[in-house]
Amino acid sequence: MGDPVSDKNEFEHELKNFLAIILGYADLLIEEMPADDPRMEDLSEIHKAASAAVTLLNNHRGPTT
Amino acid sequence: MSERKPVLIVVDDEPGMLGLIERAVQPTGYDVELHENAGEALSRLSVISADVALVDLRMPDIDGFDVLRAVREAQPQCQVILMTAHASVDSAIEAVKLGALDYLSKPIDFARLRQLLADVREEGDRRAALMAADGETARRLELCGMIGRSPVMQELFGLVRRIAPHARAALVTGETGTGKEGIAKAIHDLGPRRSRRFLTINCSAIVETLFESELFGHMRGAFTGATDNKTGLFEAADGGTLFLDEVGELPAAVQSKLLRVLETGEVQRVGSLQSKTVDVRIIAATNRDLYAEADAGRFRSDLYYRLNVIELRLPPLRERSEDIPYLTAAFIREFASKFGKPIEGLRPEAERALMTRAWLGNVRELRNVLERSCMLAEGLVLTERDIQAALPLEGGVHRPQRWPSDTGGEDRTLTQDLHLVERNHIVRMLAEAHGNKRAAAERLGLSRRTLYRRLERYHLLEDSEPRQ
Repeated sequence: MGDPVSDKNEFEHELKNFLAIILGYADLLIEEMPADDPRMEDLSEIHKAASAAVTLLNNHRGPTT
Repeated sequence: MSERKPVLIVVDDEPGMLGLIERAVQPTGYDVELHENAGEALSRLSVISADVALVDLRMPDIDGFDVLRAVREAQPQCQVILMTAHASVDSAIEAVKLGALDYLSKPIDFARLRQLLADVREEGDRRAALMAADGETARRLELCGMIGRSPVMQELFGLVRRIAPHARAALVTGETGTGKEGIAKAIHDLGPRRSRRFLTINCSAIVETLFESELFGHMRGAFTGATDNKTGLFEAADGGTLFLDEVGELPAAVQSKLLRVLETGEVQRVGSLQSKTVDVRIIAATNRDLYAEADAGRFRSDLYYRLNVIELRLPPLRERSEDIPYLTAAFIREFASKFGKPIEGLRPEAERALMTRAWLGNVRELRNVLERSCMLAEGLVLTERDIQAALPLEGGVHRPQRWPSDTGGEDRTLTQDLHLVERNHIVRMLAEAHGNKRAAAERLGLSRRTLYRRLERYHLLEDSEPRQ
């Protein structure tokens, strides 16, 4: 609580957990959907944005030790 | 392949993650249990046995490493996969040191997770197969009491399990004694009708004139001797299964009537004008080549196709001799307990004798031989002599006629027993000498003439003599 570093870590951890859920469901839907489904494009956008957020988080924290 | 579905326990404090993983691993065929609370998951492990635990590394009330340790402690055979949104080299090394199978970072690579689960499952199956060295494990490879560890039987059992819930009709083929009724019973017991009746009719055991009445029933006064109304097997089996054994023996007239019932689902009692609708699953069995019979016009081909919606072919025992040790273990256990004898197994040479026999009477013959061996045996372990004494006739090279005193094992006299031993010994020596009587006589310490006399006495001559 009092430690700002561990608080920040905790926050990042939680955030990444939620992003993982978003990405995971997007993955499953992409897997199950026929490739020519018109919603595929929207889904790819969700996937792309969530992936970008994960990358951002990883880079922000620096290389994992 | 193990019959039990493998079990996966997932522990993560985030419900959204649990739901996601459950969906993602669906194609792997695991039974999945989800737990938000690690303590709850661990207490479940004292009740159920899991194959894989997928555990989040960072949870509010407990550390994933502690869960890993507790699982390894409680169920060493259970593989643990850790997952984390905060992967680090340190924790990865720690995980492996503590015996984790793998360490996945979130977002989870589903392909990798599924591969891991498939590997564990395969490994489990392989271990189960390896352990199948005794009767105990053979029991796990059974299908409703039938033992079949060989690939051909496992394939057949798989087919039975797959069709049992659906098939309306099936044809079971195989030589005599291969267990056709067992397969029919398994289809019934594994299907939706298991609580209903399973009725058997042996088509070769019924007088032709009584067939109709047996199958379809009759009304009082329909024919001389019909003093009462009678329910036929079709009506009695309504909602259940009717097993037509030796269906190839059905008289032609009955074949057409049976075909009509199968087509319309209606039966008419003999002497009745009204028909009744019945819902009966038909399983037919035959040791004949019914296709050839139909081709030759001895069996109605339209009935053949109606019965043969799916064919289940039981291999003869000689085509799955790798099952003989397991069958033997099971039968010895059965008869040892039936006769109250402490028989534990059999000597290697006795097993060899069982393995090399042709078994023209298939599993039934093997069972009979072991029943008689156990009945006569005096030691804790069946010897080759115990087996030889119980063998009815040597199959294969020499196939003599039935030996008169070879039937009814229990009430044989001592002289008959000695004759049996002598006869089997001669047969064995002959087989070892590849049928050469001079060589066999030498080994037996008999003159050729004496050997011929013995062969004559035991009816061993006429079958082998003219051909040589």
